[in-house]
Amino acid sequence: MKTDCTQARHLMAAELDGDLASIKRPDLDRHLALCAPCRQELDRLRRSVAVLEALPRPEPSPAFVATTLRRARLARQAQQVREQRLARFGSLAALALGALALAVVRASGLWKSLAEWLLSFAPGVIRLGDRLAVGVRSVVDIFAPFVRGLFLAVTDTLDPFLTMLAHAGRFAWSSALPGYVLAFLTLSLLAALSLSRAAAGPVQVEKMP
Amino acid sequence: MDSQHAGATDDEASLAERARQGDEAAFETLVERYQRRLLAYCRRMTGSSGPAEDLAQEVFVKLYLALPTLDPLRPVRAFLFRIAHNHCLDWLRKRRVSTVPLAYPDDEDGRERDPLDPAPSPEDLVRRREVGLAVDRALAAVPEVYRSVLIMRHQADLAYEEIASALGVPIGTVKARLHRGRTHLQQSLIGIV
Repeated sequence: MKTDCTQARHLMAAELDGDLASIKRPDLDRHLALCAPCRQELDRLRRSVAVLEALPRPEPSPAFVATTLRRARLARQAQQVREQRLARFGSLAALALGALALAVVRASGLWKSLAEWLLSFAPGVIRLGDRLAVGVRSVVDIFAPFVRGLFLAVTDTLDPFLTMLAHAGRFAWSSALPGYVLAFLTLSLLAALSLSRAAAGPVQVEKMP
Repeated sequence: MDSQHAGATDDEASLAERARQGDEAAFETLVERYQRRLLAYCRRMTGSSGPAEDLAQEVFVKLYLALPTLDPLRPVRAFLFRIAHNHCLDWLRKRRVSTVPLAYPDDEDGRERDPLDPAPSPEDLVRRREVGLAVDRALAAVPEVYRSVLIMRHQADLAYEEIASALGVPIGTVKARLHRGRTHLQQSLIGIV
């Protein structure tokens, strides 16, 4: 009998959900006809659901929609202001951090080491350039003699300028200029970074769960 | 899901998509469409009509702010009730007060009447008021995990799939919680109904 009542409770739940399969309905009816407690329980459950559904739905105030829309707009504006502040703060923080790093490098004497380290790449770059030039010349020699003439004519024409540039480059590397160039490039990079972040517009801080 | 429900869902998806693209009229339509159900949910979850309207408006504001990141494939109704559920639970935790109403609110009395009985007698009104208060108290005594499902189903008229999506649980869990919630409620209402 107890098992029947347990099974009947599952059937009663399905009945209240409107999910009771027609094939199971005779089982439930048969049990309810014999079991008064289950019959009473189902009756009480039905009445409980009925009074719950009959509870009056609260009526929104007449200004509900207008107030909601106004609050939504204000919230959106506040969100945008917060995001802009965050973007500005991030740019300033990046700039300050860059300046601080620069000051630390300069104060700690790493400045010259850094410049020397960068200059150490110069021979490698020159060798790479030579190899590229040899490669280009080989291609020209093999596949296009007429292009070679043109190439030589162009390089001959540009030679004085290239020589002049090479002299200027040698002078720049051998003087104190690299340090200032490096500082200028770093500051330019930081300024560009801050400007790009400020121009990037608001970022989304809230996501859909 | 019947064809009428499917049509309403399509319409709702179209409204949500337009609102997502910045159409305020579409968002206004969504507010008009769900304000009563959402208010009923907040009212029954908090057990008080005072903060319910404020909570319901905050839920719509949260939806509005989340519109740009809204998943177009997800039903907006379920998302709305998920926000409402979390918001009401937060409110209850912060307040840490009993949700048992001390008096049946006047603003609900007589506004939503039985259409078959448009002019109930004073005795009927008193009786309804007493029963309403008792049901509210019984509902407040049901654990939150079951109460939320009971209210979504029997006050906000959500389908099982929508409740499951709103709460992030399988449909079977929704049905089990609903059954336990009904059992809690009927035990609290013994002798009253």
